Amino acid sequence: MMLQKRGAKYGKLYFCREIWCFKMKAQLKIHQMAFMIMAVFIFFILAGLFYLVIYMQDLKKEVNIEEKNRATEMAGFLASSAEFSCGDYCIDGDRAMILGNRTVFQKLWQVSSIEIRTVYPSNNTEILCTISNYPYCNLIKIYSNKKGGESTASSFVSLCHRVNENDYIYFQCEVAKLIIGYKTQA
Amino acid sequence: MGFVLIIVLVVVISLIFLAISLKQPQKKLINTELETFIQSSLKYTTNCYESPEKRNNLKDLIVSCNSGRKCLNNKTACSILNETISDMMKKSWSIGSINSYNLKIYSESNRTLVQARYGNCSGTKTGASVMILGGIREEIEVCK
Repeated sequence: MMLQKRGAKYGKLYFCREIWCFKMKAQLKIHQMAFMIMAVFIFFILAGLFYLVIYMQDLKKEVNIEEKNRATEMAGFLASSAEFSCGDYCIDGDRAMILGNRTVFQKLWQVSSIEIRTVYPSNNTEILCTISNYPYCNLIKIYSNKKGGESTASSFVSLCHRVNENDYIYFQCEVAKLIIGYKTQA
Repeated sequence: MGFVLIIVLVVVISLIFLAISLKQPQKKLINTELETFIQSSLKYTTNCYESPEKRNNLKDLIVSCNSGRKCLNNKTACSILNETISDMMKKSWSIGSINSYNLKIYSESNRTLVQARYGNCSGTKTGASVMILGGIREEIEVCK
């Protein structure tokens, strides 16, 4: 009678002996524990993946910010370098035209591109500067190694060139933007 | 019971991580674009001739305007300064990328020599101020 009462708890195993019922109970406990361990394991994996995704996104953002900072610093460095500078925030356009295309300088710049674009006074149409049309142009390309997926950082500078007017030589300056191209992480 | 314990443990650990990440000092973003704009625009060669061999740059023109001088073409320095600044601001700041700008040049006595403005600010405002000469100063505000 006692055995029947215990077996009744497990429905179909109504006629089980006491030892069998204990076995069933233990097996169920083991299953429960296994499922629990699996659930906890999956939970930790998902949490880890979630953290990793957020961390990687932050890392990419930081890399892009660092690249932009480097490009901006490069703009400042270029505007104040002895090769191109004609004072604070001033670029000598004549020197930029002559020195810009030399390959020796290309190894120095750890960026994708360096351009100087006149913003005032300037036409809306873009005229690339060459030896034949300089200074009647508005875009000087100092260095270009674009491979796609680049962003730009820019800084205002004054772009000056020598002008001979009525036998007086003076520096004529325009407002320009020094545009640095840099690679970004997608 | 065990599951609840694990959840509590995870919540406590994540709270500790959150507290640590919030404690890290936030990086300051410094916008030097406006300052470099003012500095580079001061070198711009204007149409005001002080003498046949000397063409004023914007900085000289501001000083001339403050002193009430005239250019060789008999126009006042202030009128040429006003024209130049308005035109320069329009062309230098592409209107699509900003909401508004406001540029003011003040004399030593805090009198407004020139002002160029466009639009109404409805976003983040950034600004810069540069001392030109003596007490003359130039201020610019841009709204993005």
